[in-house]
Amino acid sequence: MSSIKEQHQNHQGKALWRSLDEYADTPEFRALVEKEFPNHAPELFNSTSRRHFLKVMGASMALAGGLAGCHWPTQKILPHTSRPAGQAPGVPETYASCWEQQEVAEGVLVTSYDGRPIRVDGNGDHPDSRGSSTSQMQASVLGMYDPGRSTEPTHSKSDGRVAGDWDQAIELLRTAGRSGKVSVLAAPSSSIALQAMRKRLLREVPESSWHEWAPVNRDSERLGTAQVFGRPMRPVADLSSARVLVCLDADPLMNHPASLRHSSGWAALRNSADDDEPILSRVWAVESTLSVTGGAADVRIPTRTSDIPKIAVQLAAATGVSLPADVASSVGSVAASSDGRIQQMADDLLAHQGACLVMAGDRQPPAVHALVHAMNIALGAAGKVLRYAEVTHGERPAHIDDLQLLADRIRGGQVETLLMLGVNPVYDAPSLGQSWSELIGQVPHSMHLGLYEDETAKVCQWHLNQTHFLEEWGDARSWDGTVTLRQPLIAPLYSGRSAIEVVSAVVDDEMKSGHDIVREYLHPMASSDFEGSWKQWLHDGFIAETSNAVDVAPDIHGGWGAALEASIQSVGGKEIVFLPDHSLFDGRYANNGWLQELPDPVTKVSWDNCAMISPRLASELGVKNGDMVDLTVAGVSLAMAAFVLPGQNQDTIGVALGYGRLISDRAAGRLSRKPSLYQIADGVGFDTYRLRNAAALRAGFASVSVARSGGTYELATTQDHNPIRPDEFMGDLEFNEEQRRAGEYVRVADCNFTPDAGDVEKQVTAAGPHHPDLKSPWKEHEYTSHRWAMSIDLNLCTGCSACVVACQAENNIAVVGKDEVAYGREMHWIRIDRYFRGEDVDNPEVVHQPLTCNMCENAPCEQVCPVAATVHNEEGLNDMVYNRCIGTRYCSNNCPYKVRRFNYFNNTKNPSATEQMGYNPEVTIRARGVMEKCTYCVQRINSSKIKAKNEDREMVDGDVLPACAQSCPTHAITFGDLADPDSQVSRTQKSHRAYKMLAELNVKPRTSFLAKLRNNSILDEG
Amino acid sequence: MKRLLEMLSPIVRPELTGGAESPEIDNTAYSPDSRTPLITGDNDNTTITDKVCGIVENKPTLGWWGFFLLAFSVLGLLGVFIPFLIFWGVGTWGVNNPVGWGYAIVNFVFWVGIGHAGTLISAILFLFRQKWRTSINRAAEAMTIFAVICAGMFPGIHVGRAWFAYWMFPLPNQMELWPNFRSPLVWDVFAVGTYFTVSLLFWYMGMIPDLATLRDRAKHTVRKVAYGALSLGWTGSNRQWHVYERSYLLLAALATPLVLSVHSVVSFDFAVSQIPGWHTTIFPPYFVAGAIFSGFAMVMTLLVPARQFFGLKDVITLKHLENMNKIIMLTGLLVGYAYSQEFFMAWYGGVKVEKFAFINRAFGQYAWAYWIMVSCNVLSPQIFWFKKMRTNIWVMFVVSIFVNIGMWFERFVITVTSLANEFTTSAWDYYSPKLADVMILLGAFGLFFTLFALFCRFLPFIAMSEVRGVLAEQAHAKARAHQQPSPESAAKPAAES
Amino acid sequence: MESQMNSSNGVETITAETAIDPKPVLMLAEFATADGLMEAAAGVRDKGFKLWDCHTPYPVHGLDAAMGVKPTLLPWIVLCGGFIGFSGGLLMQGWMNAIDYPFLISGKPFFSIPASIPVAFEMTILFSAFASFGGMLLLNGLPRLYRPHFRSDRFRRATADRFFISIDGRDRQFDIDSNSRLLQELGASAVEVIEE
Repeated sequence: MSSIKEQHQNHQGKALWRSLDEYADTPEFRALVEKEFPNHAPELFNSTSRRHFLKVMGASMALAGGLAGCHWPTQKILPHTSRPAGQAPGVPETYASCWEQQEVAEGVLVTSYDGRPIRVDGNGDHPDSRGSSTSQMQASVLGMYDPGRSTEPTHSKSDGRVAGDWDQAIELLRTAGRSGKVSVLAAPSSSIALQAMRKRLLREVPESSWHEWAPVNRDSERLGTAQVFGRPMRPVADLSSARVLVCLDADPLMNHPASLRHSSGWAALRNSADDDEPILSRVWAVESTLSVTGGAADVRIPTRTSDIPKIAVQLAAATGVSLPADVASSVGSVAASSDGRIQQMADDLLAHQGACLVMAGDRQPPAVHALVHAMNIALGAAGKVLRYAEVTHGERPAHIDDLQLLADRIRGGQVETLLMLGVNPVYDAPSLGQSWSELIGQVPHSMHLGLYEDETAKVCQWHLNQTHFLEEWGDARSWDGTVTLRQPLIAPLYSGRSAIEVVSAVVDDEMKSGHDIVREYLHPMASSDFEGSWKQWLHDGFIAETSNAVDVAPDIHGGWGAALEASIQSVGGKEIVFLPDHSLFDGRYANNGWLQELPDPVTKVSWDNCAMISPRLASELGVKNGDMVDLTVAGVSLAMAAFVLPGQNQDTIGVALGYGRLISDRAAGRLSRKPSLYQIADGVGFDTYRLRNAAALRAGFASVSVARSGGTYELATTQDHNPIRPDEFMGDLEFNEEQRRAGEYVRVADCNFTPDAGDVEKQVTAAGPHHPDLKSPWKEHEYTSHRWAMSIDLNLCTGCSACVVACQAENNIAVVGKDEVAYGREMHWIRIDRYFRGEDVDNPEVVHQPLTCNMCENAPCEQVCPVAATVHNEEGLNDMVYNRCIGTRYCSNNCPYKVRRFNYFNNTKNPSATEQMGYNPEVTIRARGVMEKCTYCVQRINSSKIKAKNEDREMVDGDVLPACAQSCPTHAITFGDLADPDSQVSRTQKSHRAYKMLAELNVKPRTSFLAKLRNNSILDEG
Repeated sequence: MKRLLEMLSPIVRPELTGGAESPEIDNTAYSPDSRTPLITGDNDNTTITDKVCGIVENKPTLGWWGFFLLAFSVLGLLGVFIPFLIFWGVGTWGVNNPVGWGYAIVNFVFWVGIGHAGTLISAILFLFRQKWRTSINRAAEAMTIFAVICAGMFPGIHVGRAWFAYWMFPLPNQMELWPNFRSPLVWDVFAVGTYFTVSLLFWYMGMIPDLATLRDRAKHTVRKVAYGALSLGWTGSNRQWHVYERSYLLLAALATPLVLSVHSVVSFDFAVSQIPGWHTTIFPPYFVAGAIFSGFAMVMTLLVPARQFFGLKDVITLKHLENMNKIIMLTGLLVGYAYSQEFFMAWYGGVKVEKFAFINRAFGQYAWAYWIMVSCNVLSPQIFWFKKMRTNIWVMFVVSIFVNIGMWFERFVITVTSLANEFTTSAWDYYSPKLADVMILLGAFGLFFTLFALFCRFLPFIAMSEVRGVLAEQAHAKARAHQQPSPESAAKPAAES
Repeated sequence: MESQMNSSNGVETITAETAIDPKPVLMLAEFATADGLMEAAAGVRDKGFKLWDCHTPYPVHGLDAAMGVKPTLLPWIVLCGGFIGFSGGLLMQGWMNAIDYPFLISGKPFFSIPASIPVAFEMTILFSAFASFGGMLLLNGLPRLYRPHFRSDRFRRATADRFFISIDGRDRQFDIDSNSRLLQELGASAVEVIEE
């Protein structure tokens, strides 16, 4: 707590800290914190193994007596022992802070109830996040309350690991600082403070070295820009002015640090079809594995990752980039290229000079990035669509090379103390001659700072428990260089320390508080009145005008194309590419239940990663979804569950990273009090890092041999449990029907750059089923007050799934675990249906449809409920009355959208204290045997009603913002009052793209969908 | 058949049946001039009374004990799995989203259907003056009661919060909350509740004279008191008979529309919803036909062994069995017609989702269930076109088992296949039962057969007073055949002759 | 309970041992066949007896005519029951869902006849059935566990295979000698008098 007490001079957060400090010290609280996750009892009963059966039967008989006693989960509350000045209990407060991933900051606003942060949303004022958020940002709050986090420093003794304390650890750090020979292996960060301390360490601590490692990094972009511009540059794209966007293996809308900025920019050119003079962008995606951007693209060209450099060169040649002669000749002209679409792509670019952009993904070699930047300059994108920002610590070598340097130092005995800051090389780094556990073993003093006592921590002498970003002070630069500040929302739950604090112990010979450190190093950026600007910074969450992005492109550095030819190689056979997981990223979120249960946007598989293979390869190998395949890369082989993914390139196998963690044999020693259920990451999915050797890391792909290995594996998919099954008897029956209905449910209009409203409307209505005019035989109810409604623009939905987690966080939706998901019992109130469109299973179009309660005015669910537990209110909301529900499940049966969710087990039984802290107090926890579903965030509707009443005003459009709409990076979801003709939702529902799903049933849904536009008419012409 | 009979003959060994033996007499031959006798052998009031009361008065046979203990131990499964279910939640079943209803509702509809034959035999055949009902109506009514008990159990335990199931009744409460009378489930509560009550009254009232017989023959005090109380002091007074018969007739007249309404209402659970495959106007008659079909099959399953064990072959004669087989064949054809009509309407209606629902039923992921249903319900009864077959007790027994299986699968097909693949394709899934589903299904049969075994032991298995009436008529028929009109025949209502 | 045979008129007298001053309360005459009973019943009816009855193991058709029993008013009771059930059913649903606590369900009217028919119908049947069964007990004076008849051992077969005529001691024409003679003439195989 010391770090907190020292913060009292900062009156900004003073009161808040004190109160937290006080209850965080009570033994009751500590006891609660050490209690276990109780949620998993239900999972025991999905296995009908004899052992389970007997266990359950025994339990049920033993407890049969007290059945009546155990309906409602008991909840302990954590009271404010003393109410801080200026804070009303139960009134949420929001603080600006900063979330960093891939050394890029996003500005966030954290909502906090009585000192307990419960939501992380985007900071609307921040130039990058613009109020929206990603699923990982949303889920980070659960990450803080995760009872699986390491709670104290531990160090290894001869008899296993024992708990240490921070004073010892700090002492060790200080001695290390004095004696020198300190090597730091840090997760790359754009923190000004950390970078300054890095410099100090190298300068002041003798024979020290600083290395950085991230398994998923943007090295090739950094090195590529260095090739072309002489120094590393960061391309800051404004997609809202890119009429034509070409993505070469790039996924700017999802797997990109600036995905939020890109998404909102991309969206600006997608919903414009409703304006007077509609314009539409066209996105080309050239990629090997179906990505989120690829799904959103108008034209998608599946190809081998290893062939993309060639295509890049052909494209460059066609767009008039002067290339080294040998390169140009080696690839041949575009005309010669097999695929005519590359020429069309080039024509598109040339036709939109100055309003187009080419992006390369981080799996492409630096030379391709260099080429792409040359192309962008040739096409006049620079300055108009593209700005260039500085890269923090840009001069560092490629991460893999940096690791090599460290390994050599260790072998050379130059490392006395190895300090690892938030990295996990034992799990995610390729072995360099020796495995990393061996290398770390050779270091006299190894120390690891991390949120979890993970694979690396276990081989280190010391593990130090790190603070979660919601618990610490810090700073980082956003994609465009804006300095973003991080302030703690709560005192460290487990007395952890942040990276900067730990480094300060080495360089300053004392552990300063993060608060002081940040103030110290940011001091130069302040005006004369430091306190004044400090307050301003904390209030805004960032320092204005600190973006270092410039409009003018740097001069092109001569001889940039040197490396180009080397990167153009034609590799035969099958290739494997490694992708950061859409939920777990590089594995750091593996212990986060929300993210584990979040279905993958593309495969819809939750709780697992899988080998994504094309339908063609599947029939070659004779495998179906869930069949095991052996993947062998350079002698290392891994058996993995296959998933047949339409649109996957037939020679490429895509695998996600971040699964197959092993962080939980905490049972060793005295820490066994923590049951392994804490480490929900364990044994989930397959550890694909094993296949990702250094060569693969450098090349961005690897040659792989794949064979069916026999045996099957259950993949918990939330949709089309068997999308394609030509081999089964009548297997096509359902598949064909799904194809037919997909056209009705998700309507798509094909058009060109300037869609004609009338034509689009014709296509949209034509897609729907023919049905007579809908008239009810009875006199229908007339709504006099608000008429809440929602519209969802399929043209904007990329399927990124931020809304799903946002809804989960807002509405305290339970995590049910893999087995239950496999049974079809997931609890998500909003699900994103992914439909494939078109006959070509090798390259289908992808449409995502977020589906939640449609709030039908003639709700079919209501009339069948025997106890009237679901009824309509005067504002047209389909209310679900939990405490009246007896659980007949009839409503769910009769719901044509299947958006109701049932508590088959007690999913919220005795939540652990930390879990309770994370709950949203505005929303009831549902008991077992009760139906639940989307409420349009009725708690938000009511609180804004109360707010309007207190302010003695009418409600205005935009007062109410459901969690899903708030989080959506493309603002695809609009919500409002139909009674107000000018409200945004009234306008969107009048759009010529608007249609109601299953309207032919006369259920009169309040939710409208806006048809997707696909700008691919060029293909018909070409 | 003969060899099968010999093979199975040990089942009816005297020491099992308590020596009750009676010859198999074929009274199914049709002769226009004389009515074939319904009660064979030289039986009169005395022998009938002794025979029927004997079942209750003699020591229980080995066979009875074996049957009872077996049934009772199967019933024990409920004792294990219902607490298990209530304690952990319906997740212990295989139900999921989208298939919210699984075995529980299938079993509910199945058992309600079984009940219908009893009421049909006792009420509708009574109104039609079908004298052959008298030998079987008591057992059939008992079956009805027990089947409805089994059925009633399921809605109670299948809800997520079984301890609040009573909220479905319109009980006054502090919040002044009432059930939603638009819900077919509430209609069920009233329909099944009424059905159980009325069936019970009808059954009990029919038993009063026979209970009086048992009272008057009782030796043991306990029996004297028990049967004395149950028979309400019945003296067989003719003035009482007069009111009694009128009341019985009225109850029959009430039970007839009731039995038709009950399965119609049960079918509303499906028909009123909008799920393709459920939302069908043919359901009420289709369900009623199916109910009678399955009910008669169950009566057959019970009576064929029972008449064997209790030596009642001359009371429950081949003619009775043959008549029931004819009804099984007829209703089997009706059900088959309904199956075909569903497909016709799906095609004729031109609603794509409905068309798919039915094609998917026959050829989709649940095709196996559909074809089990068709072969058991539509094909197997066709064997009854041959008299040789419909008068062979082994054939009829096997067929009745088939029909029971088929009718359970009919409900499974309707409930599960429709839910598994309905509107939103993204939510399509496959339902497969878990251990608890199967065990509770078995347990319900245990309950049913346990109750039936107890009924055989302690209550008059045959409606004696009515059989006596039939005997009297047979006597008079004989008399008329010898052109000796008796004074009684003059007083007989026209409908009788 | 002791019984002795009166040799003069062949009437067996059964006397309750609890009786202080035994009086005849009931005369029972046994017949072997239904036809025999039928003729005798007609005879007794013609003698103008009021408080008398026949006891048969099954409803003998034509006996009502032979005894001159009047039609029962049970059907009217049942009709009332049915009416109460139906109107009650409709009123209950209307009041509960539309007046006491109206729900807005599926955008439909709070109360409508079609949706209320199933419940109303079942209520009709239920109440009629109660009326029918209850009315039967009422009109037959059941349950009445004790009857003087039960003192006679012969009478035990009245529920199995024998037929009886009983004349109540309170009947104006009740007279042991004349009545027993009459019954014996009418073919009674045995005549008993119960005294209490």
